[in-house]
Amino acid sequence: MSSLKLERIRQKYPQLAPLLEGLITYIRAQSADGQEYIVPKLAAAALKFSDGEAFVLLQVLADGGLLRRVYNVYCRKENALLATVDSLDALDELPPPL
Amino acid sequence: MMASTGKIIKPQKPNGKPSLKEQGFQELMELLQVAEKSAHPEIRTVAIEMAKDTLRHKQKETARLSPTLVLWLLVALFLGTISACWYAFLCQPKTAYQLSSVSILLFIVISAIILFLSGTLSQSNLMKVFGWAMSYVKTKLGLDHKSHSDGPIELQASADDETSPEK
Repeated sequence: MSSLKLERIRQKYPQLAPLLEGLITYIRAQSADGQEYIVPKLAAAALKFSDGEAFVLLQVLADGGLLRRVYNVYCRKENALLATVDSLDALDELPPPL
Repeated sequence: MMASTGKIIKPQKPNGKPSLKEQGFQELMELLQVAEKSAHPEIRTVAIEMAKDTLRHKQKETARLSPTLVLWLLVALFLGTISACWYAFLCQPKTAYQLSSVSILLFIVISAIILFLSGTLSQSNLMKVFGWAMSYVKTKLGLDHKSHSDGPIELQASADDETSPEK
């Protein structure tokens, strides 16, 4: 994780710094465990935030260039990851399921 | 490292259900609404900004007019307004100011409608422009009507005035 980008984010949101610290520790731990995705809901549960708070903090990191927001589309029946796209627009461009 | 919304979303169906994009947008807005109730003021501020940006982006995406068409329409409208003002001062010097006011007012209102359709102007701002235009018409152009209850009384008074000399 780039310390320069992180420093910029801290400077931009000084009051969020303590909350971001916890989140960054969580992200580093997830990354060390080989987790490719940081799910807002799971981060919220781990850090005792609301889903919305976790999402906003993750988005702050994404806006700062530390994370990239993606949308994962899962098949509920098969419990399988069908596609990963990086924008809402791309969701509608996915081919229909067979 | 990526941040995923991580929600299982039903695929798009042709039976009128919202598309994946629409569902994704709804979920984002729900998350931001939750964040707007956060105990941390900074998170609330950032959430509100994010919600505004997301809505602005959505507004632009769902715009019914393309930016190029909007530009041409606004340029044509502007030139039309300038021509109307020029014509008014040239051929109707007595009422030139009023005619120019009307044409500029029309320019502003039509521009607002075009900008609204292009997704640049919000509905609340469009209503503000309409409100301002209405108040301008009422006050400056002298088209203000008295309230509805005053009408019959005025008519009755004038009728009395007309009949009074006969008495």
